[in-house]
Amino acid sequence: MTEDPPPPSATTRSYEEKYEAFNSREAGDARVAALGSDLPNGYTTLEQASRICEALELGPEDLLLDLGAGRGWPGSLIAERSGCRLLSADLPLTALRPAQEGLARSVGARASVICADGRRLPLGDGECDAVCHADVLC
Amino acid sequence: VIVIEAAGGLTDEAERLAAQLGPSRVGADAPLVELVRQVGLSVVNVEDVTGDFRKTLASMSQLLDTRSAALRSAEGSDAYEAERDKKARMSEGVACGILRRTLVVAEKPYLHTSAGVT
Repeated sequence: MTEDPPPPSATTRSYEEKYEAFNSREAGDARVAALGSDLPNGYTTLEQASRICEALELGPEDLLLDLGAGRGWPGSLIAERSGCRLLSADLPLTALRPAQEGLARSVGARASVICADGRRLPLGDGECDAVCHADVLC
Repeated sequence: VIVIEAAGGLTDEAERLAAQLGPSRVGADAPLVELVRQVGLSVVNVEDVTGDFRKTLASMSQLLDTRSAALRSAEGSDAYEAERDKKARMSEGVACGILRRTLVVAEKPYLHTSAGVT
């Protein structure tokens, strides 16, 4: 994660509050029942994430950018199954902290988490091999 | 890319209703698949996953109801009510046929040059 994240906007603050509630154990139990996993944010099911993984055909040399990753879903599943490297980017720190913890467990050193605006990512042209973008701002 | 968006072919009034019922802070001038094409990507697959979305919303709403006490205690009543209301609004939008969820897989077109494929 970057040392000096940008000051949060009103929108980011509202999402930080939302994620604080989202991180409760009870909410996690509800996600397991509805989506098949505790990690998801948004409405992407385990089955849909699996299909995206198959379509992307990524390998260990590839870098996947999960843009607007929230708590790390669905990039975590794609990286876990494909073996690719993963960069999860979002703004709310209340989402990125559990993302970092979850990705360290599931993907390990191949995953990085960054607090960054999607319009100003610290990436050069062609650095990513694929991008996933699911349920951002919903 | 997966997004919740307004269904195609809506009247202006239905578009406005879809914006009210759909996720906050989301608005686009064109369907997702058109936006993906506009940035120069080749669309590989487009899938309407509204059916799955309907089931997920129903399942989440049911869980919000059955675990109401625990969730209110953990998250606070205001957050709980806001989430419950959001799910109900989106369910209504899907039921009315004005909200849909779309999955698009696209790729960067390969450039064929004299030096080969880049």
